[in-house]
Amino acid sequence: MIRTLLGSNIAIVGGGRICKTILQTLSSENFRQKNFTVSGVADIDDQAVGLKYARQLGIFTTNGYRRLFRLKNLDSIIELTKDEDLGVNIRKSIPPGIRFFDHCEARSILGYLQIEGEKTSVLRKIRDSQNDIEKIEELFEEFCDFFLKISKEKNEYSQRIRAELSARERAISQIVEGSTIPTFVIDKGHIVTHWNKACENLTGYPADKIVGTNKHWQPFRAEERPIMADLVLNGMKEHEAWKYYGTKWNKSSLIEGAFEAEEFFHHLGEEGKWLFFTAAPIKSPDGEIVGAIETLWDRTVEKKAEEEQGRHMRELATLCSIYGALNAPLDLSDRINSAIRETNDILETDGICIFLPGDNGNYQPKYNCGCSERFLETRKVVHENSVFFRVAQSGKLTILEDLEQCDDEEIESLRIEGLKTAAFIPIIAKDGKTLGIIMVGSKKPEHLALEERHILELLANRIGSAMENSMLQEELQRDAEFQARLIENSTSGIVATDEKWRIVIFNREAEGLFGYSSDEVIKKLDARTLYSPEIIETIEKRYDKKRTDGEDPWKETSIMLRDGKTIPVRFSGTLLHENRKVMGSVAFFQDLREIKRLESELVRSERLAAIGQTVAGTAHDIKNILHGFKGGGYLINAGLDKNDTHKLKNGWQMIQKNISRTSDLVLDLLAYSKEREPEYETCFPDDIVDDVCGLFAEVGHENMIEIHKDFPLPIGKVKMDPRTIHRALSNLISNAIDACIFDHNPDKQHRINITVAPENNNIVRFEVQDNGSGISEEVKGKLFTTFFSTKGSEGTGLGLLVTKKLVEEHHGIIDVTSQLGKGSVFTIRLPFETGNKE
Amino acid sequence: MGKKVLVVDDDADIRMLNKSIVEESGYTSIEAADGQEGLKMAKNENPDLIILDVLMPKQSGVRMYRELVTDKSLKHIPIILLSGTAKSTFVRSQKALTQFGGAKVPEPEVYLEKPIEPEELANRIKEALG
Repeated sequence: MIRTLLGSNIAIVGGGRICKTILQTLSSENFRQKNFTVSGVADIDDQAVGLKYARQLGIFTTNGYRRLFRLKNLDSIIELTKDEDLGVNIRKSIPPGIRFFDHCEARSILGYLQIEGEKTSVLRKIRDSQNDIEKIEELFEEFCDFFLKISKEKNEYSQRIRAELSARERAISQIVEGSTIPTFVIDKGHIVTHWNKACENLTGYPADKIVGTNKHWQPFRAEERPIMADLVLNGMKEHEAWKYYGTKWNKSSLIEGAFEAEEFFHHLGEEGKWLFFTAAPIKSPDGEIVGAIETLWDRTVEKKAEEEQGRHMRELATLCSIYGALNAPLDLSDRINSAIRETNDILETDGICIFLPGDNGNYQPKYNCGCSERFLETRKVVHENSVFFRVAQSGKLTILEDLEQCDDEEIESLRIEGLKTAAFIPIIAKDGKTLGIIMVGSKKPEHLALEERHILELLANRIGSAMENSMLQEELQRDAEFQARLIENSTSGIVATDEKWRIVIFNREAEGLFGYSSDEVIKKLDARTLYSPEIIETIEKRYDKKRTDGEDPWKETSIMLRDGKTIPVRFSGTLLHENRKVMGSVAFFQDLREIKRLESELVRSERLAAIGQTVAGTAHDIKNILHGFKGGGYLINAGLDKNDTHKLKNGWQMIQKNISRTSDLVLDLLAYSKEREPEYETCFPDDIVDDVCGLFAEVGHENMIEIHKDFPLPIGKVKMDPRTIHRALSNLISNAIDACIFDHNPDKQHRINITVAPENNNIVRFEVQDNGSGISEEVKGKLFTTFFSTKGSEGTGLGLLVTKKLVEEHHGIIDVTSQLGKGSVFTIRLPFETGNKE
Repeated sequence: MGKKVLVVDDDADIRMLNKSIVEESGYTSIEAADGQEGLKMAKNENPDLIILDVLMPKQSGVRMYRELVTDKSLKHIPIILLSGTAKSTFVRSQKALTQFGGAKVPEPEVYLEKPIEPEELANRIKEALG
């Protein structure tokens, strides 16, 4: 190496003492013929001794070593600064073709040059001594001493360098060994050189098993693979980091070429550990990577704390979502549905379904999030060993962590859904009753660990109370609505007040009654301004009385309206009290005007109905009569055509009958529809009865009915309307005959008794008694009130109505007693005008 | 011809008239005064045609019509309804009875409202017995 320097052109970086020595050596006589040329010296210090000396010698000097690179015919650069970094930089930037010698090599070169110089000087002296042995020996001794001196210096320098190196290594070693941070170091050959105590503790692997081997992956990985120190040693590229550490790595911001990552190591310790690890390259002075150091940081505890915090946050978030969802102003099912949706999202589960017990005791899916329709349909919960049944009975949360291992038929439907884990949480009411069951399913095995239980129980708890509240609320609301409706729709006017008589309830009926709207009076008006003193007194008095004292709570009184009018009302009221304290009053009012109006309306409408029915019935009658006329005409024509006297006779009879029916109908209609004042005149009722009976004698005979007259006391001459007597009696006897004809009883001798007798000096009693068919109770009720006929086409249905009307117009009374199958008695009592008796 | 017509009407005059019309048309006639009697005769006498009134005591024509058209042995007999009651009233009564759980019955094919010309009834009788 040194020989290549002979005759070369060199430059020196570092103009210190050694530079000067070298320059002195080279400029001495000994090197005159050696052709050493120093063409430049660089040093940042302008006053450095070597630099100054070079300047004196006329050598190019500079402050920047890079300027030396441009010197002509430069062969070598010698570095004398002992600055390793500078050495590295020069080595990197040096132009090709120029050799580089660092300060260690320069030391040898200097030694060589000095020895070479000394040798030249000694050889010259030997030549000048002219073979003087003594002188030669002396020169040789001198040279040897010089040589020893140079050797010694060189040795000392080497030792100093070595000592420096080993001190540095020891320092590293001490730093590594003494550190409380788990650390290990590998050398260039991936052999572990250091494995400190903390690392032993962390990994459980003693240093003597690992140091000197390449088994440092064993504590961390199940299979052999490069770990981060190895990768850094190989000069890790980013794509490798991605490959081995996914997203969990970073380039160190502090150390160049270092990487850090965080990962969970299942194989460390009993439960695995979270490690944060950094690996940095160890570089030689010339920048070459000669090893790697990796530090580990056990983050398990922090990680747990973080997770714990995360879980709490999650619980809190869940709680908030569930609360939020359950308290939203929606109906219960919407609220529950959104609560389970939130929970499903937060737990990242694959389906939550709430089952409520149906009528048959089975649990039916009611609320669902994420479960398929098919699942909901196929779910059958029947037998006593059912999970649902067990959870409901025990009231305990149950988690099936691995559905694969359950061969229950019930679980089959969960498995079909692809679920691996399922939890069943009972929803329990305050009284301990199971309201329902929440089923939570996940497609990940062992998803629902202990930690999720809190959230699930929380959900069940919240949903339970939401359901209870809602049920309670519904009930209250129903009650309140029912009461409000009751009050509002009551046919009584209801007025309730607080303890200061301020009106709090004023229903629709009360509005109509008093003439105030509820808006005008509620919380605005003192009820006593509406009440009379009598009403107030009654209300106050009734407070002391018990309800059972038998007094009718309703009183008839009157109230004054807004416009000053007084109206009759029925009224009932009392003070309301709770714990002997008066809470207010309530009073009920019924408008008697209304009741009276309704009564009269009812009478009127009945009469209208009767007339309507009469007209309808009459129409039918008229049709029959017309049909009879046509039929009679047809028969007469047929009889005339064929000279058939039988047909002729029948035809004529038919026409006659219909003529009489027509006149009956017309008379009845006239009698019923006309308001008629009786025309009183002097007459003999007995005679009128005789006449009427004579009219019916033939009909009675034809039908084998005996008709008897009975006049126990003659009436004599009275002032009455003879037409009323005639017509009323005709109707009754006609009815009696019909009753006998309808009574299809061949064993009975039918008879009709007609009695006429005076009563109380001014009344004539006419009685028509028959032993015919009689009248049922049902028919009796309809006799006088409405158009009614049991006789089909034989009656107009007007007879008794007309009779009653005539009797009443005569200020008389008509009565009936009857027994079905035995007969009837119709009695008419008609007053007559007195004082005409002669 | 020997065909037999049953006349059901509570009004004796109408019965007589209807019988005369039947007989003038060349058929024999039998009669009944209400639905009950009419139904009994329909079963016993096997008539070829029934002329039926609607408003009658005991059993009305509304009932009897139902019985006739729902009885297997009777429903083949043609019926002429002849009444003062409007056809719409009769149909409405039938519907009401159906609603109260009775069988559904067909609307009558021939419904004559009184009063009618005797000749028209005669024609209808002839049509029905064709």
